[in-house]
Amino acid sequence: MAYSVKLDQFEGPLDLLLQLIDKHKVAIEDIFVSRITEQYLSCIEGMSLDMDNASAFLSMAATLLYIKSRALLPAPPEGIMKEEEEDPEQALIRRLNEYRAYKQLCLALRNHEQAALGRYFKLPEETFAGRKEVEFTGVDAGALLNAFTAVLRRAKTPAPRPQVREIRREGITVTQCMNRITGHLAKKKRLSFDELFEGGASRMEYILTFVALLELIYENRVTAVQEGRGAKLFIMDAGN
Amino acid sequence: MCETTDLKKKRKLFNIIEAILFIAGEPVPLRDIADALEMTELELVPLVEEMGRRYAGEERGIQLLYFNDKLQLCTHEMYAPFIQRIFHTETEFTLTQASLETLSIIAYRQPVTRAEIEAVRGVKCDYSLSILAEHGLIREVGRKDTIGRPKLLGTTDAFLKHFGLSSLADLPTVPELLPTENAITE
Repeated sequence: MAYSVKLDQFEGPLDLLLQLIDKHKVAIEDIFVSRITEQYLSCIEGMSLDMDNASAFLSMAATLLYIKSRALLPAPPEGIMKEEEEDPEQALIRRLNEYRAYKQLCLALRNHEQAALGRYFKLPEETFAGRKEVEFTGVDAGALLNAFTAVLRRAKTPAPRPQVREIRREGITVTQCMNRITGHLAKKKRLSFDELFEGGASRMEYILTFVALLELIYENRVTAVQEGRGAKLFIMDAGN
Repeated sequence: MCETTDLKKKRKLFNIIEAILFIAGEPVPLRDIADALEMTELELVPLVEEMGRRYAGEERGIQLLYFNDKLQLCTHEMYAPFIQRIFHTETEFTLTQASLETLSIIAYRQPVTRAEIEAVRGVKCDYSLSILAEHGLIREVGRKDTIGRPKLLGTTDAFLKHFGLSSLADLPTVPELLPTENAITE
């Protein structure tokens, strides 16, 4: 006759197994000679599960039944079993032990969390945090446009257009810019963001350098770090 | 005589550091403070540690946090009820069991992929991971060089702060975890 066991909430099949093991005061190593498999099966029978979770619980049920069926059959003669393959029994015991260890760490972390709970922090002072930000109050679109054109003028303006134009290939490619950045980084460990754009190059060159930087970051070859808000941006070799 | 001038000097340094941290609000790298005081970080560390002990010993309303080579001021948790009474704030969030389990696996195994976390927990972790990322407790630290280049996850400074740890070396330990360190491969 099946007897019902009340369990706390559980987080998955491993958690359910561990709770059954604790409830019945069985050592993890002894679960296959205990009635834990039956308990587990009767537990999931009564559960309403969504598809995602159901598969995890069913997969565990299958593993348990497989282990049980193996126990009924005579062991294969020595030498037939592949040596590297872990027994399903051992694999499950190892997973349970590992999971239990993490559960213990969770408890310890929970205590830390509780202890740190009542701490409050102050937000950064506005006078300082705002120093890098643009004040938009009382500024209209025209003023913004003027400011932006002034910025654009700082980049070298091309010579007046001749009537007939020849479209030329850009003198510089993204790959070249990427090589230049990595070259700089080989010499210097850290580059500030501004250093990349020194030397009064053309607007196109600035853009290509920036694209090159994004590409390098995407390829995980360099990293960009900023220590705190409004601080300087630095570029570093990702290997460091 | 000499001792008293030393004490005075030390008190002055404490006061300067306190002023900087008060105005900063956010964590300030030890390096920046050392630069401002024209000292080396090595000289600063014992001072900062003594400062922290003093704050803690006097159970002052303001406490000094020292984590990941950064300093920050916060209120003493003992006085949280009074702060809540005046400002009607709620306490900080606490994590659910599922999120905490996921986070502890990340904390101890980082850098770690989602598949590796799910192998330990035996269930899907998408939701916990999105909650943890939302709170800024975890971040992507790179990509693993295997098929699909899965994201590698690690913890952040906010994680250390949330649990009141000064560095990852401060994480509580469980002896059982050591031998199974790289065990899971599936």
